[in-house]
Amino acid sequence: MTEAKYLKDMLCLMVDRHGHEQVNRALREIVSAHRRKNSTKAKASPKNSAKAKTKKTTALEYVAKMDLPSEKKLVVAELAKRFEKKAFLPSFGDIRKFCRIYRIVEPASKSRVSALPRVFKFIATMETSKIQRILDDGLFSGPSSLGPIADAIMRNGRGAAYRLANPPASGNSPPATGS
Amino acid sequence: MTNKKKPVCVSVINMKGGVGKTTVAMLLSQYAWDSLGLNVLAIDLDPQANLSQAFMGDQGYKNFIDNKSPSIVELFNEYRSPTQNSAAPSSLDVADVVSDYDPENDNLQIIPSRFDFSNHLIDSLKLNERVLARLIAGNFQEKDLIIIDCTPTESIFTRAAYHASRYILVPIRPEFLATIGFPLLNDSLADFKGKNRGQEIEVIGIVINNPSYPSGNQGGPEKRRAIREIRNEAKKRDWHIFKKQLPYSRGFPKMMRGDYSYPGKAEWSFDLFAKEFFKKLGFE
Repeated sequence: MTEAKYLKDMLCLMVDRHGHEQVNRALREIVSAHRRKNSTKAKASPKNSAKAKTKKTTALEYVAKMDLPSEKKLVVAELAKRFEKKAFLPSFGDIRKFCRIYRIVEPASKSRVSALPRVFKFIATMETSKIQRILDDGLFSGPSSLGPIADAIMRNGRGAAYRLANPPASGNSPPATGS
Repeated sequence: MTNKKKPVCVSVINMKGGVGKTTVAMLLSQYAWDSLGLNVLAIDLDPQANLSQAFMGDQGYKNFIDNKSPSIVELFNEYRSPTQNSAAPSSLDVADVVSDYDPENDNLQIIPSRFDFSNHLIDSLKLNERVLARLIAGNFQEKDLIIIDCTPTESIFTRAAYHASRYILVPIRPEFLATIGFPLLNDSLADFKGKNRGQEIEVIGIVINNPSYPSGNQGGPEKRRAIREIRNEAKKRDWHIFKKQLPYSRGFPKMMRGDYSYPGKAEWSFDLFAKEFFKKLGFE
């Protein structure tokens, strides 16, 4: 059955049941309501597009627009990536601390995204080697974890000295016992 | 904010662990630097290296250990051991031992400790307890404040801290066993003063680090008794007790981890104590 045939059959049923006049009136009401809805949508659409225009810029987009020497841009972009992943200044508390340290005016709104321009504007003024240190040492990356410190101790501690002095026998299989 | 007699060197000591020495040393250093604008050096004399870990963060401390960067150990040895980059012992450049907290300026620096410091202590036959004082005299006269985080047991490092310090700050918890660190410190200090009569060293004060939850009874009779005993012992020795105590707050361990989300009353209550402390120290 085609769509058109299905619609015709349905309408026939309605007309048989409610009469031609009533079905016609209902259809007119549906059509005018539909038109009203469409016109409201049309009126609302400029607003929507304005909203779309004010969509928050991401850290990467912001850094991409910055006029920086290429080497510096690379490290600032890496920091922006971390900002996106919440691996750099992960909470507003960290941003507050960052602003306090560097005497930057704290953003009024307590959102990370609103702080983005002033944070990255400041970072762009830093020497590349110093930005690199922020990356290397994970500065301003939020709460420390035990894992990296524990691993460093395991690699460099007394256990490591013992492993160096007593290397494991080659191969993991147990010694042959003969047949 | 100035003090005519800069640099002022303060050791944070108590002959008892877990009383908040590292937390107090870390937060005082930060406060002096970012609120008072002082030029600060923090020295980690504790083999547990907690001050270094708190200052450098997990990644920074991991890099420091993996790169075998020089630390307080090399400073006491007074040379750098051969490494992958040097085939013989080399002279120690103090700048290599100092680590900047902030990559942008060198007004808050740390001389870090290493977790294998204790091995070093055991293996070394004779360390010079005046090395630290000599290092400060020769290299850090431009600093306003030097804060030393000490070990909880008396050792050559405690004496090294005494030689370098004009003042001693004593954090204490109002708990019976914690208060026993008090007479031990007094004994240790008296012994040092007896052997070094030319040096002025005094306890600038005691800060009560309150471990109890702010429940209805504020710690109950046991805590009141412990505080009474602390006051009695302090009076006998003419040691000052700071009015501002450090209340219990989950914000303290969070800040030591580098978590600055909702530090709660830890932040403002510490600031109140810090203001009182620096006023007494003469930074006005």
